[in-house]
Amino acid sequence: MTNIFADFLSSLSLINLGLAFSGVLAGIIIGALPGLSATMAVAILVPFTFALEPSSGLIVLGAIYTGAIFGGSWSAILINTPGTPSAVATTFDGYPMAKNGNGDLAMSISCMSSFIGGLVGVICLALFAPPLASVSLKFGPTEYFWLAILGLTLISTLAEGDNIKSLIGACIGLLMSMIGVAVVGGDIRMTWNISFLNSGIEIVSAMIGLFCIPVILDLTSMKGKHLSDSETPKNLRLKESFLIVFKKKFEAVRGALIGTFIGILPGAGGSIASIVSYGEAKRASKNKDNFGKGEPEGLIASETANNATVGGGFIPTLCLGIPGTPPDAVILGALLVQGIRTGDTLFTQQSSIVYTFIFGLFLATIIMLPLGLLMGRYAYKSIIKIPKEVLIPIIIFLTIIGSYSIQNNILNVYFMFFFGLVGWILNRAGFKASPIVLGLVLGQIAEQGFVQAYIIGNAQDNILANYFARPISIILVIFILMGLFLPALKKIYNRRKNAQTN
Amino acid sequence: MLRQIKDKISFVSGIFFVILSFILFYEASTLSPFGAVFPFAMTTILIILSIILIIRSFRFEIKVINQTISYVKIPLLIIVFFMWIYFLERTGFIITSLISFNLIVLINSGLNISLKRITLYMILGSIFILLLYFGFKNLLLVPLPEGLWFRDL
Repeated sequence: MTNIFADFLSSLSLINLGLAFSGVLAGIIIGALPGLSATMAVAILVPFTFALEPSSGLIVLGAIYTGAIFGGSWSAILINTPGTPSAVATTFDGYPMAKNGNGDLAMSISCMSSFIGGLVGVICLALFAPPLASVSLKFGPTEYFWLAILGLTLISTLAEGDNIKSLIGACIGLLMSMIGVAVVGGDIRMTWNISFLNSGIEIVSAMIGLFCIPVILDLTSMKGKHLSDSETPKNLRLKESFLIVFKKKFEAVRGALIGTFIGILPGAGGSIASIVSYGEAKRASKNKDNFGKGEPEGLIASETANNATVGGGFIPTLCLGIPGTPPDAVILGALLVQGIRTGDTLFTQQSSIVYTFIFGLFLATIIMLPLGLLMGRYAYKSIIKIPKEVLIPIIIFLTIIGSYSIQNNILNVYFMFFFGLVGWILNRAGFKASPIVLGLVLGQIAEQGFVQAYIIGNAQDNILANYFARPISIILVIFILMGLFLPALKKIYNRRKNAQTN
Repeated sequence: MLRQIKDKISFVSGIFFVILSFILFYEASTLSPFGAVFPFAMTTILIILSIILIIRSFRFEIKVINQTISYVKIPLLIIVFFMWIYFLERTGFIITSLISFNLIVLINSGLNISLKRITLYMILGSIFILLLYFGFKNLLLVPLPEGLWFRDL
């Protein structure tokens, strides 16, 4: 107990506080720029941490990660482009809120929700890391496959627009994820002799293109301002947003717990977490019809979940040495360079460093709240004042620099441009970008899980049981069926009820 | 038959995706069993969904509300955007970005904005580009293309 208290005091040193502050600030800025993801933010800034003490270096990385995940919501709200893949669900209600003149409210709600999600994730990391890590071991290939399918069916039924077209979009995304070398078998698929495609489509480039380019082209044609300012105040409607979040406190905690739980599953990530949380929030809400049109509850669900994956993702990273999310993979590398051995002995033999890091993460989350609200106020007011004539080339510039910076390869920029044009045409035909992007993100997880489950089932002479008889799989399949058929069944039931009433 | 189609966009999209699915299905048939199973499954699902879309297009229309297109600005923007990418490594990041950025400002400004204001936008935009370039290059150590003429900059 005394040691933990000493670790807490150590995290409160002036240097560590300064590093946490700088990390959150840098993370928010980088995460907010479309094209620069949380993984990139952490990867770019990792070398700077090698000169620091191990615990201080980890505090910076955790702070950057926390800030970047929150920062991703800014571009999602203001220009309908998620700054990170985990902010895809934020666009569903964040951008409509901004279009309705409630962008300032959306920014504040996003900050408060990210704070709640981050706190819950860190608390779970501090108190329940080892037992939660053992849960992640119960997820095998079959469970990962069904989890990916759950994410895809939810996005297809929850995203705004036509359900059939959303499912087609998800299939397109899944097919795009198959370009390159097959995850099992090693076949080279759909590359048409373009050697660059052997490594597959770079997800961030495709995401930037699919989300940003349609926005740019529509802005070019639009007359008038991009976003309208609300008639109120200068203070980002803090009281109003606090009351909204407080009223939905249980929903916020639910979203955070979903995010933490999905975060502990290696490879699942914030994108699935925010979608599942959004789906659950819509299912349980009394304002279902408002979702997708600017419902604050949708924004709360998405942002609590994706920030909770920060803490949740560190559980398998620290306990099992298996990164929970892509930024965790980068941080794991930094841990190994610092000589820290992950595993179940980490919390006993190197507890000082670990608990200092966890407290640092806790502080970064707390710092994120006032910093996010303050920066958000100025960022929002500045961005809505930027004339469209300048905003458009700025966004184009960021898309180019963002997609180029991933691998320093101009081909990524060409692909971003190509997918952007395709995305714009599909958008005009009613096919939205979010199912396609999620299909691309979840495709490899789904395929690897599917094929590995098949191989295991085949070896056990019981393929169907391997897919459908495992306890966690049964629960996931039930959720998938509910997500697919429940809305349609409800519609039919309501129609019959209305017919009988009439 | 064409007159019976209520939702032409969905009909055309459905046809397109059916054709695409068959092409990809054929591609997948040349792969090993493990490499082919998921493409087969996805193309089959895509064919089914596309057929549902086509059938639905005869029954009712789901309207897609779109921004009206500017037939002048959008093609110009696409051309300049492509040129920006094409010349990025040849001419260098700074020169290409400064020229393309300011061209796009001009395209979007049209005739409604004063010359003074356009000039101000161009100057501020150029400062933004230079700041970000030096930030990426010197602070974040991300190498950006220098082009044929500024390799040693």
